[in-house]
Amino acid sequence: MKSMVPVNTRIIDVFEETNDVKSFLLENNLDEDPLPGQFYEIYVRGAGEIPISIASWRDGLLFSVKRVGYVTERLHGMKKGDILGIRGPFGNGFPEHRRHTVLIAGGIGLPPARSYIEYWLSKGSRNMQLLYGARTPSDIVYRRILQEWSNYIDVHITVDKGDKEWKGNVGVVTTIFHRIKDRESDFIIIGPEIMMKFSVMELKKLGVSEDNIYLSMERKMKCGFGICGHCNIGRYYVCKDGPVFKYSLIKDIPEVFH
Amino acid sequence: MIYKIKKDLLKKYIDGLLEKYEVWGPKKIGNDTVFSKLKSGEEFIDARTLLGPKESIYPIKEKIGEMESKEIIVMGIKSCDLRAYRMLDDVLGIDEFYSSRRRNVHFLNFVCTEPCEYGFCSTFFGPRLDEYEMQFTDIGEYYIVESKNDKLIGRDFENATEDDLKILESKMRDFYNKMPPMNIENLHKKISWDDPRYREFSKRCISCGACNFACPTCFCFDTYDDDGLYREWDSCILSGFTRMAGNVNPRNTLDLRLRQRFMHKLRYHYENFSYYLCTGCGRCIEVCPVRIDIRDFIRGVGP
Repeated sequence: MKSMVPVNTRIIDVFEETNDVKSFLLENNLDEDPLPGQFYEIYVRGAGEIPISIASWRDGLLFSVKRVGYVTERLHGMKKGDILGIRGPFGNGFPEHRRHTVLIAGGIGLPPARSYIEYWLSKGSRNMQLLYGARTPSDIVYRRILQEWSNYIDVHITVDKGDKEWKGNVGVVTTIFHRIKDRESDFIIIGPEIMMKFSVMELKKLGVSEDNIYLSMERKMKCGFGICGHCNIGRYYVCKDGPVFKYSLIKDIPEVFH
Repeated sequence: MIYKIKKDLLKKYIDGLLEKYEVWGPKKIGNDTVFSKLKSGEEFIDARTLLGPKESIYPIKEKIGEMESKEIIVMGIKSCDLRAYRMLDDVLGIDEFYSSRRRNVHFLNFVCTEPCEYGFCSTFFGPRLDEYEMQFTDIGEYYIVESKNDKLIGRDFENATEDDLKILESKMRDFYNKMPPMNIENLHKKISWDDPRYREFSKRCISCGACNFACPTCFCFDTYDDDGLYREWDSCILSGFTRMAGNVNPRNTLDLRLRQRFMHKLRYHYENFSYYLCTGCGRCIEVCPVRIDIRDFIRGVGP
């Protein structure tokens, strides 16, 4: 049963990914295992609850969190051994991997993409491509893992703004769309709304069907299972009908890209 | 079964209930008529209160994980409010705390035989419900009592006669004559995203959230930490309702929030549940300090 009551969990380890992103590995003492693209409500005592996507669940639940507000700031101050509250998993998750799939991730959209890539790599599929855009080279998360994935799948990284050492592409994520191998793929887009909006526009120019585009949406999901009313986009609740939506399902709702 | 009880025996009946149960009902506190716990049958008055008894199943604020549930009787709830809580069931029913409390509350609804000033319940289902536990209607000397749970029937109840039911029917006919239903056919299809009135309303609306607070069907709640996790009624009219970390706000202007309120009640909820999230109780109209009137809004929804 979906519940409002958090379960206590211990932080097994904390990893510093970048200046403002940390990963938290938590004990998994919940009944249900997640699916790629689902999220949890993480409770930082004295601060509040926040919805965070699952990044990985091999040796515990891994969440990569960017420091953007009050609760994430407090979470960043937590250490190995500290206790958090947790509820979940919530939401529908990504669609089944049924054919070549292009993941387009912007910024802190990479952790949810990781849950998909890891899950389907572990099932033996290599039929994926990752296009990842970060703000600067120092904002790139999971460097070692990206390197490892490139042994199995096609990985392309771009940064909005380069530095002296950066030899790769400079430009927003749509500037590497010429790398897309197959227009008949499924496309999963995860990132800030402005990035999703322009990605959809470019994909449509490439002739990609709206039925093959999936967006991972973000709203203020407070309860996680469709009762608190905070995360609706039209008739849909992001927490229970999403967070992943087929673009064709929600495209006519003016609130999608606000 | 259909019973009746003499009006002057109602106090005695309530006193009997009070021996076994906590009973809530409308009563006078100072000059105000409010829904509150009753101490005696004497206090009970059959009247519409400004706020319904939503708190009996859904407290304004409560600590998550420490919610209580006890068997109580809510006496004198108006049909609009009772119908609203049937609607809340469809959304909040999966919440363990709501549902445990809900199972423990007996609603004894009282049918209005005169329209209230702001109400428009005849547009939706009228003052008399098909789903109830015990439903009371004033027919003069008696209340007709329609019962689907005889557990709470008292000693002073008699069987209603054919003639009593005829009075009931004529009272209802009168009611509908005085409050003709509005045309809401396909309202959920006609109501539009870009109705210019959302912007017009936003020039008057002061974002007080009273409409949400008074609404018996508004179910949204916020959660926050205050030495423990709490949940508390929330309002979609307030700017913080959708605001996320980093000041990202999908409804950053008031017209978008007013649109949400009307669209949720008259379209989204209909799309999900096949009925409007409104009972026509009129409270949002009554409490609105700038006279935003959902009846006018409905009448003005395009062709």
